[in-house]
Amino acid sequence: MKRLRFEYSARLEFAESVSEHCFTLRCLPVSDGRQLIREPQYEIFPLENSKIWLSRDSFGNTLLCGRIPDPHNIFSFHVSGKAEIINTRDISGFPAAIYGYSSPLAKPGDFIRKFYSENTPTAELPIDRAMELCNALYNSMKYEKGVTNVHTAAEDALKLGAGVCQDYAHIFLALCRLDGIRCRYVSGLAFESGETHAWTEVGSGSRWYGVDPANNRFIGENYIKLCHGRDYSDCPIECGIYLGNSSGVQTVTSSVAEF
Amino acid sequence: MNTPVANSKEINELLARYGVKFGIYKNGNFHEQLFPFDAIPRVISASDFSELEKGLIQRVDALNMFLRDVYSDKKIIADGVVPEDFVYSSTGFLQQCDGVLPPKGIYSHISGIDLVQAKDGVWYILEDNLRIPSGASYPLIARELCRMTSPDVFREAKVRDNRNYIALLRETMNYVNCGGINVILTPGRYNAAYFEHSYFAEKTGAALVQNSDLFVEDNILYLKDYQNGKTRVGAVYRRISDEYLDPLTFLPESLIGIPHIMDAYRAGNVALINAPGNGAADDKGIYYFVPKMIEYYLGEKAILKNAPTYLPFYENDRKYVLDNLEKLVIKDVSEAGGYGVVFGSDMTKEQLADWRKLITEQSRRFIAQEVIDFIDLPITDEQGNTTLHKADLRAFVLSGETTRVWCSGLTRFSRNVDSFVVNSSQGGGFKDTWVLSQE
Repeated sequence: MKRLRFEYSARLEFAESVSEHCFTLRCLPVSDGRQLIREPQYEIFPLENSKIWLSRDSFGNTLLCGRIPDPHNIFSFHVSGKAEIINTRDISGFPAAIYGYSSPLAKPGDFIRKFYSENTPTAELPIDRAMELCNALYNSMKYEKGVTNVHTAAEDALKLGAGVCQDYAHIFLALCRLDGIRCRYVSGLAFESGETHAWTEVGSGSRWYGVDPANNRFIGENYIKLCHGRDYSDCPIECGIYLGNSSGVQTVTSSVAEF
Repeated sequence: MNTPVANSKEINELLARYGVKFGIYKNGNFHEQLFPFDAIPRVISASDFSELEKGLIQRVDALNMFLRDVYSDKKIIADGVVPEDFVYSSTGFLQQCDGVLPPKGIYSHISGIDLVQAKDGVWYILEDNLRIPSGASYPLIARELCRMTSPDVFREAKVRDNRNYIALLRETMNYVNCGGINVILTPGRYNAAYFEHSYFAEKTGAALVQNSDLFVEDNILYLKDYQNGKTRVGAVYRRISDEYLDPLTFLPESLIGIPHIMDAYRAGNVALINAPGNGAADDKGIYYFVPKMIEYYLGEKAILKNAPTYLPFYENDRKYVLDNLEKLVIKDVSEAGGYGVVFGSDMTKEQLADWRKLITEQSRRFIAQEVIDFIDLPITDEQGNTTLHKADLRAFVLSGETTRVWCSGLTRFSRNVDSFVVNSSQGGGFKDTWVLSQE
């Protein structure tokens, strides 16, 4: 077992002030068979006249919701806590049928179908078949920042042959679902780097397995899951809507450290 | 029954002033057009209506049970009555609503069931509309005006009064209300159905609101007032579609939605009328399974018939469809409002071949139906002559403490004499629907 301390914060700066700002954050991790979350804390700025509350979506994620009616130029939030991670590959929770169906960002097109037909796995167990697909994908993609964005669909990323962890995850989900495997998208914190990471969970039998396609391996003890969904569009870590003329400039920092 | 109602020209002028109109898409452009009223009513006998009533209540009850099931235990899938694929790959199934039980367990509060009557008198269900079916206000306002112009007709004709729709609607809202006021949420006065929104608000006493009048805090929905105060809202009869309802749950680009309204709904603090996610039950692909649902949930035979329908998804059906395409009507399951409907009889040889290929390749996307030769109703044209047009009936079924059928309905007729498509979005007109109180 590993004990980790985690932090995640983001700051959004607007050139002109905005108001009626409503937001939903999915950065409060939930305990499951693999991670036990202790002492979760959060802070939101500005707090005066703002309302902050908790909610839950139908995927089982905890939502930190809020409304800031007054004009403001800066919006920031900070989440921290401790996590005990058990080194287990399987995570509790029965994989529901819906995770076997294609979703907007992980829809297979001709390119993904062709890739699948050329790399159809031979193993028997779903998790072993998934790892074969993961390996084939890893060997034909190049990790490259800046060539895709958060809205890039799996088909386009595979065509490009390059992308970041989110793209690897989406293509992998599309491939697994073509193979009849139930799987889902995960956003979380990993390593010691200052960024969030994206990986996947693969259903095999009545279990979920954490698989990191961008690194072609099972997830390790220093991964903390924040939220999950069928793909990124179900579970952005942060989404908001406000009245105003300016789109904000965002800075994100995060850390995971042993203690 | 020949034009017993006088002054139909004046009635149409008044309807135009009230803003009784419909929006239609033509060649990619949006047009609004008046919804012409024809004064010759459709008449339904008391015995015919009582049979319809039983069948509609049975159908809507089963559809509500289906929605409750697919968003919770999913027993009907586990028992193999409806294939999993038809639920999960339907665009109407919203995962964001899975596991959410709406107040009092009701999903479809206001159902608009479209029927046609065949020449032999048998009624067939054409489609179920469980999202935001519109149109009840049109026969209501038309009847109101006809009563003024021709009071004698209504004294003598033994027509059941249809003004109770307002009471039914109010009772339905009150029954599911979670504490607070009732509101009707409209996208605004440029919406083609704005007349209906404002009419219902005025008649039921619900507040007519737009998204900027509402906000959510602590998972409770509030209406703003002009002194920075707030009033809790317990039920929303919303006239905007699911995907625009909450930009933080559905389409982020929606500017007509209310952020966090889905959180308030999931927490059980507000009723949404109708519940989001109802598209899972009125998908054209699911239609095929409704008689099976009735047997599964209620242990009864369906009283009202579906039009004979084939699912190319099943091999036997596919074979039949490919062999008989010339005489069938093909519908795209993801389209609504009369769009995506093609008749085999209108196709050239090449088109038939193309369609056979398409149906084979995308078998889940289409359904095929026998063309029902439904009855024509008389319409008075501009010259004062009577011509016969195809017509359907939208029956309104309201589910609150009990399920009730409104003893009237919206009769729509096709614009062209030989057209089978009667959807108002394709530019037809409407009639009042008279249900007789005795034979």
